[in-house]
Amino acid sequence: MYRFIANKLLVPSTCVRGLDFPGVFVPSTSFHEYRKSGYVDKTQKKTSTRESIRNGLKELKQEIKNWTAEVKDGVMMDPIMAMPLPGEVDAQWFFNQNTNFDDWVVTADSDHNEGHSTCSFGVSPVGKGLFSGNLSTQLVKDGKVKNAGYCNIKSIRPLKSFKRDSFHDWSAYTHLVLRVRGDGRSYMINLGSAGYFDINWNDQFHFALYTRGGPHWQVSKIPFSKFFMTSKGRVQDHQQAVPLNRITSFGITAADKINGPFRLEIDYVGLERDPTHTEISAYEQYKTPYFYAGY
Amino acid sequence: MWLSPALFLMLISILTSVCLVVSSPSLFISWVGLELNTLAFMPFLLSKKSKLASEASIKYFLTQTLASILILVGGLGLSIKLGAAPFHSWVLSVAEASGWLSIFTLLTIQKVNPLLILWMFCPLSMEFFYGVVLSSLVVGGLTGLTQTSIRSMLTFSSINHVGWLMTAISFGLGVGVYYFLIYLATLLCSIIIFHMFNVSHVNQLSLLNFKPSNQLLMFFALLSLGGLPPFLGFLPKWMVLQLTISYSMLLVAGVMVSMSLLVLFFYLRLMFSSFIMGGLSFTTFIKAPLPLPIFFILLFAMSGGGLALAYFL
Repeated sequence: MYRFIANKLLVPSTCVRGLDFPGVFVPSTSFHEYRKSGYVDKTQKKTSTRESIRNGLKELKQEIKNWTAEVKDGVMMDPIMAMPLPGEVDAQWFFNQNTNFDDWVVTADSDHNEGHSTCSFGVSPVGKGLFSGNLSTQLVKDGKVKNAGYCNIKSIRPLKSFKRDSFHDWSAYTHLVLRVRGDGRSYMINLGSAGYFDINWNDQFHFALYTRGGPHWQVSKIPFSKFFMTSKGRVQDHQQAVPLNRITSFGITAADKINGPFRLEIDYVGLERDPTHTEISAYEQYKTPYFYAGY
Repeated sequence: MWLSPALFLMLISILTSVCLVVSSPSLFISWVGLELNTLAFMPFLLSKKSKLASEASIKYFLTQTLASILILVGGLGLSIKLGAAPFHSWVLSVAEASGWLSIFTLLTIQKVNPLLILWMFCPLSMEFFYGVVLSSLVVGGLTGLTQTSIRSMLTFSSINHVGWLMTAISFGLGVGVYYFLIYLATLLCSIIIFHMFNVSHVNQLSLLNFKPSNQLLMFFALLSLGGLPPFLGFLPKWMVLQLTISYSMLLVAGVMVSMSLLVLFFYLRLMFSSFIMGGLSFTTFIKAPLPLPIFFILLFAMSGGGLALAYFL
């Protein structure tokens, strides 16, 4: 009853886009009841409790094996020996015919009827990864959408045994290295750093990657200190370094406000440690003296 | 950063809370001292202005509040407050997001009040506390082996030391205070060195501009913290071991010795990687890497000279 009143009577129309709005209406931009802010996968079938338990029991054996492997790895692995050497690139993702592209989430604004862009992520004719599609800034005429035109690929969050959320630990590295062949358009590299509490669920770090349109591949070595922080797409005033031990996802977005097709081939995404790179954050920290109020 | 007027006030409040717990006649006043301690420590965590620090402060607040409620109904909350295994998971996430001063306060001063309440009001001969001691020793030793962040290593070393501290305090307040003060001195040495050289990850130790003399100083500080003779850190462990064996607590003594080996192993592995990958040159051996007063204090605290003086005192 409360959800009915909240959804139908109290919520202003500009906030609702036919989404499953949270039952608790709090006039705050920082409260999030759902991780995906109301964007639900409508193709997903609802399963009953009995079916969920049956499916869970089927996976139990594999999860126990995974947990055993984690414990063995924790005991046997020497973290010092696994340290990267300067100048070596440790590839995180290779893209070729053997890549499982189901591990990548591909989205566009047309998925939820908010635009007309389309995209796909698969194998290119030369056997590398290909992120391509068509960007359209044409607005959907529903009176709610003000901006359109994005396509995105994102890696799924790493999981430990028993479906526990985990992180990528990139704290030993200083640079992100991408070998790509673009079309001259610019793409946004996104690093997700979702926190434990809802206020940090949508925190991401971005870097604009400019590509060359030529036939030659480019190797872009991007320092982590150059990434800037946003929350739900809004650049934050108070910038900080990327929390490299708590990276939840890596993504690439095409949203440069230019209508037309785009094409980005990716060979690999890797990490490198450069001991001469000592910068923590490239952005102004606005440190004030002790006696200033606030900061 | 760390000596702003607001943080200085919080430091005074923390010390006041310790005085309150020491001098309290009842469990309730001690509990008030614990709450004041929690309240005053929160701004320390938030002094480093990052989203991880704010997340760490919320985790710290929620865990400590739950522990305070549990203290009123039993001794379980004290183990949570101390960060003893198996209730230690919050310590790692809070320590990872904190600055060095906050970590030092978290791993030392924040343990004083719960230990005092444990000594005053809880019978430490209970099986529950033996279980907490043994699990702290084991978790601190084993889990520290897989860490590459120096903050995490110090945290797990501290969890291991909590096991030693709880055992020490079960033999009497004097033993516990002695262990605590020496642990505070040896941890302070290590943290001063990590803070001044701005080292937070193992691969930073092999940097080309890290002088060999600095490496040696860090080596001695870590060995002292690990409890290797002839350094100062060995003395309280020797004392506690002798007491456990004389009281026939052989299982506890055996676990303490074996887990100390593991803690020492991951400190040694840390320093070996820095010596081997960074190279060693004796030409800069004589130069003092730090301001002279700090250098001599550190050497005294770590050295056998400190050990001998503490013995005669």
